[in-house]
Amino acid sequence: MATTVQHRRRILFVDDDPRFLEMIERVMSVWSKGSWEIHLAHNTGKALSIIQEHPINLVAIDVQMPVVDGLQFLTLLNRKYPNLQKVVLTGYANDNYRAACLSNGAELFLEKPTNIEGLESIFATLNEIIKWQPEEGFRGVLRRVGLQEVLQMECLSRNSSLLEITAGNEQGEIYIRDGAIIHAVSGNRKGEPAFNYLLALKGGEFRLKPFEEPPEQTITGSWEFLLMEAARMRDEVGQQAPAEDADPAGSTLHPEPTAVAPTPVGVAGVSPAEPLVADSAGDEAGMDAAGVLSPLTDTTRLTGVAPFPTAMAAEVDIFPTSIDEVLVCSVQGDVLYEWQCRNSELWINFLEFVSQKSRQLGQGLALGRFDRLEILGPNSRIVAQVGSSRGVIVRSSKAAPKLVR
Amino acid sequence: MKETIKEWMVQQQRVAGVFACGVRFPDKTALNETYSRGFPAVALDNAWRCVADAYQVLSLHRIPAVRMRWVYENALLQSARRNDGIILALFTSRNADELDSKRAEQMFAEFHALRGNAG
Repeated sequence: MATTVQHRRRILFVDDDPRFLEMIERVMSVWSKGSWEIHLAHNTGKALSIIQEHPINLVAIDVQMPVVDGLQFLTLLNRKYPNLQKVVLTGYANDNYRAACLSNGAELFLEKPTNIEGLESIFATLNEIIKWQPEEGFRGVLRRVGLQEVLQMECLSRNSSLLEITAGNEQGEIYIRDGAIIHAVSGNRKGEPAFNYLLALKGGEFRLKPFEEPPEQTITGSWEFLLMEAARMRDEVGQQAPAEDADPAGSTLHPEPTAVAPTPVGVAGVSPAEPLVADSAGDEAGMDAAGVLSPLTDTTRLTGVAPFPTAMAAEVDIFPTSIDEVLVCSVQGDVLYEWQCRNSELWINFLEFVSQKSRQLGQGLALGRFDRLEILGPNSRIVAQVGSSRGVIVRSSKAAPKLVR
Repeated sequence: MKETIKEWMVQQQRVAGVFACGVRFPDKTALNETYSRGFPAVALDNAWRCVADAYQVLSLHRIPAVRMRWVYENALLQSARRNDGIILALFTSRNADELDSKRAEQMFAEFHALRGNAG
């Protein structure tokens, strides 16, 4: 039966090797029997143009491309197009790199095929993945794309556009022509001072509009340099601010344990009188059947999350606990409340990953709605809850023993 | 070690309230036992892969994960990972009256205690 145009799936392959792309197009067109509309891009700029022009269902990215690192590109795509399915194809199948790709939105991390059987296997895998129905959920709307990221995307894809920015009473415009930032204006400021000022604005919103010729051209530098300079100036301003933000963010989610902390209070945007997350668990298997109050009830009370099975908790001797980190964020990725979080951004990424994996995990199984992931380590416990309106992370650990004199 | 785990899996009796169980090895192969028509082998392979991915991402972020529990509306997915990277996962009922949690915990304990030849 002939495949109708409406049912064709659009797949984009991004690879800097033209011979590989040529072969992929030739072979996959035959195997898909017309059910795939194949697009090819030999760099990230071209890939972005194609994604903007066509509703792509799946993108397969080679992560070892020159100029823009594949992982960086994957992160950008994940932020701007969270519902776009992404698969990494690489000849560099290192475990850490694989984990990094998966935590940045890749559905799968596949080794580049070296023979026809490998290609067939890749085809079968991609053909299965594109059958997965994209679902609106936490992941789909979690990320609010930042101004810097939009600028980066516009410049990388050599677009021409006009960005209108408003934050309170402040407003301004940034003009981009063929991927080059050519003019910025905000009040009395023009050129680079206006550009840096606009990028340093906190909050607010922006709109991407069709390009209009600016009244003058006040910027000539490369966009990469402009963005770096704006980031540097923003950092300098941040360092002069009170010490609240001074603690540099770590590169991992799990810092060394810090001092035992008091119970968090005064949640911004969340009423302290009600539990942060309603308990939807009900009568769960594996909970403390004896009804004994577990020392984990601090966490339970805070999040409405029931503890691990008693035997499981006892196995790792986790008692008693102290709460080390709490993060509550909206589905847009705005932090509603954080307490002792060294790196909120990474926790938000982790919530996205959990949301994505929970959907993938349930493929073909009648598991129902996902509620949360509980992770137990030798000395720590993490609950990652993904709801329709917010995400919550609570990390707790075994408290330091009290000294007996 | 793989052979030892395989033998152990074969010996396992069905535990009340367990819908399916499986073991995933670091070489990406897996063993499945399903006790419910709602848990077909192909979906289980995919589920174990996702669980393995989660352990890997946690490891990247230096979060030591001994056990994980994915809580869904209709079932729980409980898993344990050994130091050699082998993962045991069970889909179980959420209903405390249906699940023999003592026996399920015993399975995890046995799984951790298994010793065998490398390979």
